[in-house]
Amino acid sequence: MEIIFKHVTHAYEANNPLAALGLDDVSVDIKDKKFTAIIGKTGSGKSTLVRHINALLKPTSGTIMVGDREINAETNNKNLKSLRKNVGMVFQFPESQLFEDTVEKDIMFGPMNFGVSEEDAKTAAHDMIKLVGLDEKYLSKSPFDLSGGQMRRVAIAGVLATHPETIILDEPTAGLDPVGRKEIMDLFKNLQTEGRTIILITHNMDDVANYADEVVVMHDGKKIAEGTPMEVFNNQKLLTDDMLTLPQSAIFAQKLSQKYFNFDQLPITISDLSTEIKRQINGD
Amino acid sequence: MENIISIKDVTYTYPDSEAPAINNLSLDIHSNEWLSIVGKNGSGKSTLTKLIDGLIECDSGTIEIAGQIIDEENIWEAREKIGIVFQNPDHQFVGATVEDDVAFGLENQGVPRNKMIKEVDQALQMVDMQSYKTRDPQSLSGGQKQRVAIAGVLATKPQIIIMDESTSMLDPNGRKTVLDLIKRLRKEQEITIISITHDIEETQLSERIVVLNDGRVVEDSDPKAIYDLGPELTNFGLEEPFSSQVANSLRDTVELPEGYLNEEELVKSIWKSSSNM
Repeated sequence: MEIIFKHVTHAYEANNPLAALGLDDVSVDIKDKKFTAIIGKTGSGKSTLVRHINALLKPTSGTIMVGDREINAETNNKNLKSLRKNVGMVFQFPESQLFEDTVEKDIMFGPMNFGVSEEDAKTAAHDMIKLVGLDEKYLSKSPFDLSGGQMRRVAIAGVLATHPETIILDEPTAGLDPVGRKEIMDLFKNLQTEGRTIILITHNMDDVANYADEVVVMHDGKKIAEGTPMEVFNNQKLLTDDMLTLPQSAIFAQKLSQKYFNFDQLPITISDLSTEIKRQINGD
Repeated sequence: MENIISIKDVTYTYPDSEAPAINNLSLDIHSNEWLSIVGKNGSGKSTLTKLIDGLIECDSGTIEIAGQIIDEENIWEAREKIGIVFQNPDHQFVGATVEDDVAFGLENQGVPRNKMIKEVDQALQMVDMQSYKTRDPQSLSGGQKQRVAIAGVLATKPQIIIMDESTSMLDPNGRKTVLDLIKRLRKEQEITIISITHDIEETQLSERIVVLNDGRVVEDSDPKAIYDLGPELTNFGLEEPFSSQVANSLRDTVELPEGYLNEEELVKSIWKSSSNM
């Protein structure tokens, strides 16, 4: 589903004229079936932005179109089920939302809440546990006996079990070890290739460079830039204004260019960096 | 070198679990060193922290802290020597203001009020957060919250600070301010830092790295020797340092010295190789 923000403003205390704006006149188009990263400093409005997509927050003014569904200031809290079924959200530390006494019941909760039969929910639990890289034997365990990384996977399985078309991820890999992080990121990339829309909030610029098709940069509740990772990380104005941290490969290229090397465009992944270094050394 | 912590043949198995989380592990931690403990999720890092802090008790083996083997009798005394900064900055605040929060640990130790006010001020000064002392901790950024948490720990004057993945939730700026703070503290006072982390780049700051896997110490060395393990690091859930990944991708074309190179060394080697062409 395409998601279109039109002039969306969100005031945290709508009646207080001095209240800070969580979102300030944001217009942005999140493309269908793409992997979009939302970046920006802590407090820049990233989480506020995505919480509008499944109407956890409603705009003070402006509209959000999620497919053909419109969310505005008047949107009623009723009838949001179909929207929320289509937009799955994995919060930071999703393991804190586990509550059932077995992993299976926990994964089944979402689908059953959306009216799926017990039998189908059970099938979904079996499919999803494998998808997130855990053995089926974990289904009978208590989620609270699992390690942090395993709990994270169970929580993600629970969100995926409702088969949302759009998946919103708010720092989903914080605290995971690098190998686990890569597995989870690859899982989301695969889900995208299978036709889902992925929206990722992250501070990890290497993940942005490696996985995202599009990037939205937030600052003080405003959208200050958007484009492909290559465009955004080469946006001189953002860099000069210190609005952005760069992926490690780009920082490395900057260091190299103090002598002998010259990069028209900063490479953002290790393979781009390496190709470019070899090209310049071989002096074509 | 004097040991501040000495762990001998410790085994611990969680109730209802078959495999031990810590498996016959021995480790000496020296006074005033900065030690990184790394390993994948489930390797035993958090369990080891809980054992050191006496939150759980060894099934067998002993843990000695500042010369005393810990037991039920003396655990509270031992715990006063240790401060822990946890992972999630939102899970460690109890006070309504920054200064209340920093005072919490001192209150628990029964420090008189006038002395407490002075020590809270001092601790906030050390982490450069004194101008925030009347603020609500919830209004701070992640990095600021962790600095306040560190102030709370410093106020109780511990000999050991355990950083339990305390930078993993922070944005790059927040992470840098916390690590800079630790570097500065180590210059200003005698303190042992045990940092539990997944972040291989962060371990470059420490003097020694211990790698845990399945509840055992599988590697124990200085950072350079650990980084020389190369792709083997992924077996322990870790990533090769960025500079090693770049170096590996270049070696087929660019002549580089053997072994681990940090970023600076790699940049110089590439320049050298390129000026020879």
